[in-house]
Amino acid sequence: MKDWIKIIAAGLLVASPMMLAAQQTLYVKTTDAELRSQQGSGGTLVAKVPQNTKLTVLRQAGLFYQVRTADGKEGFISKIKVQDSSVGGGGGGLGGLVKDDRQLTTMRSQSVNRGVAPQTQEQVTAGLLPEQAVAMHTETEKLANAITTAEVDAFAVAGGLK
Amino acid sequence: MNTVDRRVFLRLGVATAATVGLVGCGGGASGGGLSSSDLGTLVQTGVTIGTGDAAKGEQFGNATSALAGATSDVSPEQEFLLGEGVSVKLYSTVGPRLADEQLQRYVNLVARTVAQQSSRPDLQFSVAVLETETVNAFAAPGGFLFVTSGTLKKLKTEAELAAIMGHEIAHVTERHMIKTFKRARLLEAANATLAAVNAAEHSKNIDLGNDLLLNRGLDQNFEFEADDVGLQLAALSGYDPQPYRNFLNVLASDPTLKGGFLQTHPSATARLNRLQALYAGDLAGAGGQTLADRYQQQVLAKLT
Repeated sequence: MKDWIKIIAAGLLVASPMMLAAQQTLYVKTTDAELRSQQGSGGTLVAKVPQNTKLTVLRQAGLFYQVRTADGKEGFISKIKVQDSSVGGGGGGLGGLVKDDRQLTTMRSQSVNRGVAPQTQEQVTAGLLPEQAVAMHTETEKLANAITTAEVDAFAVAGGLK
Repeated sequence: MNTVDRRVFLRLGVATAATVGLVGCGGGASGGGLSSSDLGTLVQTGVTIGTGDAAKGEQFGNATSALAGATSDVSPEQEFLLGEGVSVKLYSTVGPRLADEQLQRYVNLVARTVAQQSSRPDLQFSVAVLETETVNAFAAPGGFLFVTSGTLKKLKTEAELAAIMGHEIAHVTERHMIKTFKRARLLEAANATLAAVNAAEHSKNIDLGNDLLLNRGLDQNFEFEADDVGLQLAALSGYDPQPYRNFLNVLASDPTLKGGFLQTHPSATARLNRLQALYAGDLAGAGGQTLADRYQQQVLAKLT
């Protein structure tokens, strides 16, 4: 009889963290986060979930959570791509980043063709920043701007990363 | 640019930086900008955390948490302009851009691979390798990253470089410099500066950004967070997270390292201690690629 009690107690000890985890709710903080059938980039794509999608945590798995969406889809999502509250809800502080980052990337791309911003150029004109530094900055931006997503993917594949 | 040109350029850069530094510390003469008391607050806080005062450290931690949600009022223009200004100045204060386009491209590909896993996947990152023996790496707001050739020489694998890039990417995704500005109540000035195109105030912000990166360093909690997030990003990208531990051990045991990285980051030992839980937990059995051969071919063969 005592053995049964021990077994039940041990079962509760193991189950309680899982039960707690099952009650946890998280929200997607990036665009198009992927739910996959396995951890990592392996497995199949279950769904692409947009920013602010509410997810119920089923369990933690290394760098991933296994989660369920409101419409019943289950999969693994990177811990980096979720947060405790919805975007704009005050908890994560990433409100507006999706839109802003596209704007910011556009500004950077434009600077490759148009040069540094007028505010930065004023610093050069005033002798506070050297012209050569601007030239080097521009070289860096040109190089980065010329690298395509396809090239990044090919680089990762060549290294056995994907 | 030949060697002589580079030396002249560096001297010019340092002289310019010193001049700008004096202007920047001049405080409120032009009104509404970075006041000496604001800067004093910032410096005092850095010292407090650095000395490990537990109570004040906790207080700072709370303040940091409170600010975690307080960056959305920073416009993309502000983030871009601050980052661009700080970046341009780094070329003159730290070292010139290394004249090897293949190597520069390789480092950018590693960073972009890691950045694909970040919480800001729509932001384009760039990296410049700066030619100096100083061991350090930097991140300016907006996605402008830097690593020195001295750092690259200390590494043995692409996996270490990926983790370092992850660390710098995390500074950008978590907006650590902007939070530091806000925390010191400097961003009201920055807001006005960046929107109103006030050259004097913009100069002060650039100076403060450079001072944080080169001398004072960011808050230690931000550095620990960048280690944590950066290592996760590298692992998620398919890199083996273990070599980064080797790199930190090298830093911890290298008696020749002074200033630079060690001046602006927590001790390597403290960072290793903080990462233990991550290594033993989420990263346990992570596996992944080290890519020592590719790193040797693309970097070490060219730098040594």
